[in-house]
Amino acid sequence: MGFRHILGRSVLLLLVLLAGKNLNAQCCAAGNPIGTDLDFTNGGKNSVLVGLTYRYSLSGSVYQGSKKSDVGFVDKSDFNYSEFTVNYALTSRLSFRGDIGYFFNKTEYYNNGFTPARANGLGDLSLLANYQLLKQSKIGALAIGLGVKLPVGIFDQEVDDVKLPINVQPSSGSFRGNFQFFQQKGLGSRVMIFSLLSMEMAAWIRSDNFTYRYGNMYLFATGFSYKILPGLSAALSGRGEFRGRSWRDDHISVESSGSKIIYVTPSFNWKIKRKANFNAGVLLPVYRYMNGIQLGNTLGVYSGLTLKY
Amino acid sequence: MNKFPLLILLLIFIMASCSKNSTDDPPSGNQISLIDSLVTRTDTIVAMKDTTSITVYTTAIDPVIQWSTDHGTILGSGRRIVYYSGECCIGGNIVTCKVSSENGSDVKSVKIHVKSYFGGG
Repeated sequence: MGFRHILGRSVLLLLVLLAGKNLNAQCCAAGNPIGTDLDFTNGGKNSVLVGLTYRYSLSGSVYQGSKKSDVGFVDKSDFNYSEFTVNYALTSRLSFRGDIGYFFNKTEYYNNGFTPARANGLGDLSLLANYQLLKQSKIGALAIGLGVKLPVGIFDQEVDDVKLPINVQPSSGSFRGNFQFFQQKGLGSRVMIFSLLSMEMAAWIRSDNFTYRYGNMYLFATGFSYKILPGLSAALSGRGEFRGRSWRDDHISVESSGSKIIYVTPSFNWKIKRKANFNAGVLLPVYRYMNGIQLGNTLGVYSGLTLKY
Repeated sequence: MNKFPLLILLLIFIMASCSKNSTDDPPSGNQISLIDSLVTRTDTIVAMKDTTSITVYTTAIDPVIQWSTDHGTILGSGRRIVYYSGECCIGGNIVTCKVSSENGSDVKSVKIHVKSYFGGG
């Protein structure tokens, strides 16, 4: 299988992984959904990729460990989020990518009739450099990515003169660094396998109101795509997200923070024209272990349109 | 006439005048005393289970009342709010109220102790 063939398939995988961004539970997770994909698509020197993604996430149940619990004052939380992406390939191996997102709503709903805490606004700015280590090898193609997130968006947002809780603030309020490693390999003319390893570390939030640091995030995803028809492919992937405990003032570990969640993600990709792709999919949590007691993610859906120049 | 005792008395007076009472700061700048008191129904709650109400008593006319907290959730607005916390926020959490009027503003805080639902904290 030639490199061009692999490259063509990587467009699909890019979209699968784009879509597979973390639609994590809302509790104590301000800021953008974590960027876990690696922009593997390098269409050659000076090529540009522009994308628009929409996501919805619902966290509808409280979990104590891996079991549902009816304890708590919070009923559920959700968000509607859109992200604009630009990717520029400086060389055939090195590319740079920027993502900026906007929360149409990021809401926590309460029992007992209290008005929900609802925020909206600009999220964080994500910058990522990707380098393709191997274009072809026995294990396929390999790439690494190194990035940073800048808290340029809305933080310390108030509604009716009341500061909203940290977990609904659109921006994470802190700088973050992330590292990613990506592999993919074609098997025959219809099947492609891929895997992704990602890590993200957050700095301390030091605002007027909050002193907090989110725990480290580790992600592993692996899956395959299958070409059903010319231009139409389906993919299925599994992903494990492991978030460490957070820290609050005086470096106290927050016991009810951090989680282990495994998702199954069916998705599809439709190549509308030669340079345009549409994709959509669902994130279905099949296993959760929430440290202590927390809201757990119930469902994530996404769709995206990508144009290549 | 020996002026030494008088000098000592004057020194004591000056030192006493300069000492700071941390719990009852006089308003400075355009900060004036607008908050009479900040009253909590209870200052200790159990995470995920309890709430507590906090009421501000103010002398300001047509005040703007702002609330914030370093951990936890504030429900409602105005002179009386309800404070709630999940297990994420066990420990001593500060709820701050700022009252502003045409003449200036005043800030007071209260500490709410959040205990773990599982005991401890």
